[in-house]
Amino acid sequence: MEILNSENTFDATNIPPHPPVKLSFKGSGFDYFSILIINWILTVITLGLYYPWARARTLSFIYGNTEMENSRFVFHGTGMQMFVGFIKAIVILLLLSSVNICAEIINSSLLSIIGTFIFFTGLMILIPIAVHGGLRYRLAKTTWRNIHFGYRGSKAELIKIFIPGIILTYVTGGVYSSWLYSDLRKYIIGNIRFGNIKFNYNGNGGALFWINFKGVFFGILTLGIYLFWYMKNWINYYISNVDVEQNGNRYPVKLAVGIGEYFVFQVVNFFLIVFTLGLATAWVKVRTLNFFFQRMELPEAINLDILEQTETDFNDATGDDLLGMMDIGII
Amino acid sequence: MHKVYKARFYNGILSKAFTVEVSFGENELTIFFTDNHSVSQQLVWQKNNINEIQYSSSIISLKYESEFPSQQLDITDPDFIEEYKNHFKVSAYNRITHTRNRNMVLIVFGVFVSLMVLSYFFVLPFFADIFARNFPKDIEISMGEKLYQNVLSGEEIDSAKTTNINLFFKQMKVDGDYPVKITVVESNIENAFALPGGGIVVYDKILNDMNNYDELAALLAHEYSHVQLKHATRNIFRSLSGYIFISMFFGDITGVSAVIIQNADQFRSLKYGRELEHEADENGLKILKTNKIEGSGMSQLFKNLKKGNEIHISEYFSSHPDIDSRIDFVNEYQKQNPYTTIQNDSMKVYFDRIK
Repeated sequence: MEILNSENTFDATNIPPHPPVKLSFKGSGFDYFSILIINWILTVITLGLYYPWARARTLSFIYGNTEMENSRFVFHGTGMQMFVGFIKAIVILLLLSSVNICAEIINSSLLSIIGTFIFFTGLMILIPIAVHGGLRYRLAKTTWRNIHFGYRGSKAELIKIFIPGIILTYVTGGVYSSWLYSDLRKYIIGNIRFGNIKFNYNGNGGALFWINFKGVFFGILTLGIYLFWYMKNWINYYISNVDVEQNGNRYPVKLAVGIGEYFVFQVVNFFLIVFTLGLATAWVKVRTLNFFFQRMELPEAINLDILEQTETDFNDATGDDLLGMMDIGII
Repeated sequence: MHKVYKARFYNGILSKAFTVEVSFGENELTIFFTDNHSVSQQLVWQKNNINEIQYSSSIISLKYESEFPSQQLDITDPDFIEEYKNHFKVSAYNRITHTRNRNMVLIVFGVFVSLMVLSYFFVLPFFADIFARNFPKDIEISMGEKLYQNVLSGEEIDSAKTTNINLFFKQMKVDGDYPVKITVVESNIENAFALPGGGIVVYDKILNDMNNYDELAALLAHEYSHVQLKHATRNIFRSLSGYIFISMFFGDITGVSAVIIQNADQFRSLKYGRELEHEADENGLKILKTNKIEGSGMSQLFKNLKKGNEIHISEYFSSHPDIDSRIDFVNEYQKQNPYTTIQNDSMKVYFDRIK
């Protein structure tokens, strides 16, 4: 039956190319507000224990309201998986601090120095491990038309990029961070799969450094006004350097944000947050998604009807929870 | 015949969307489709293997749990979504967050926020106070001792005045068994304060402005009242509980609201501070009465303070009550609690030495 096993039915060469593909967000600010409020109440009542479920529900809402070609994305992660990950993440962080805790109990300054060393070294290794685990979980649990995303990077490779990079960043007083950021993006994005679609990041550290340098220099000179240009340049550079690869062909993702519209967008967001004491957060988030989705175009030559399922499932949410606890965003 | 609804089917192998029709059965969901030979076919999903992966008022996505990858159905027909509720259990969470009746969310939100505000203003202070009052005295004293060392480090201590002020205080009859330790610090600030557990610091400027020993007695009676009534500890517990409450409940919403609420909380702390000052004034007057010392020493003390602080700050922004109203309170108290005073010669001697 075609409906059940139609893997060989399509021939890519016979299908006419699509018009440019756009994402759109179908949820309203009020819908998102309802989710946030109920999550907040449940998290408060359960003294924080509901947090993993709240996280899963929030992601589910955001993904579930993001539409591409009339089909919604789905986040399949569950609160229980995230809760187990949450507990493991707490245990890992406690273990990292255990020597420091012992030092505090027996009041030993030598042990305290050793503990601090262990904590920071451990944290340095833990961050890439958490990023790796977080990407594997988050992407494996994301589908569109039932085709799973996936992350194929290696933990060891990510550590090899991250640790020397973070040391160099420290030694160069932050200058190297643009190169580290570029290397990480290149590796991470290069290892993301969406069925048989591959992604690439073509940005380089030099160009990013120039954007950052101008940001700091003119930011100070203009008392912060230049930051709007800086953010706009940064986002445009980051997104426009991603390309999508299908059947050996690479197609760039397009994003064009103008300074005027970006300025108005950010100023309105700011006033919405400040004048509602933060209650408008949900509406701001929805506005933000709409703003970028409207200005982003996926390559028109890509054929989204012939994506094949290539990725496997992954249920360990520890990395995702660690990133949540350390407040590190990955995608 | 059951009603059929249009849906989109994804087989988990390829991303192509198939248009199908579905209908509810007693224990199953039947999916009807036409295969590529134009023959009608049907698939049956058993209810207990169906998992809801997306629920909203505009779309329901279901997946059929078999082996990875599973099959998926997306249904946007509002009638299906309505009938779905009769066949599948919709969680309370989804009922509230995806209700078409927006008032329900607002009511839940309103009730919860009101409960929080009530607990913040009434329940939380009540428990913080009980906890502080029952806080073990020895821990309070040892904590106060550490704080005392910290406060005094780097200060110029006047040891002669310190000795005499302690001897002066020993002449006063007071309740409680805190180990009172008074230190006189050289400073041109007109101030004195009490720490938890019995430490009292007096800046010598305030002493220099005094003319009579009953003013010093009033000052020490007031400061000792702070110690005896555990004001510092109560204040710490009150601020700490307020801070924990705010960061727990508002930290996750947005940084902005937490910051704004924390600043608003400062006013509450200031108000509490004024209440404690008033309590210390009242208790101080009782101590003076017990010791048969002239209560007007306290109003004179306030007059000295007023002279030293020409800048007038609205009471609302201050941790202390307005000086004029404090003077009025002292006068009123004396009118209502008349007593005969007796000159204490030893106190006078120590006071003269301090001067």
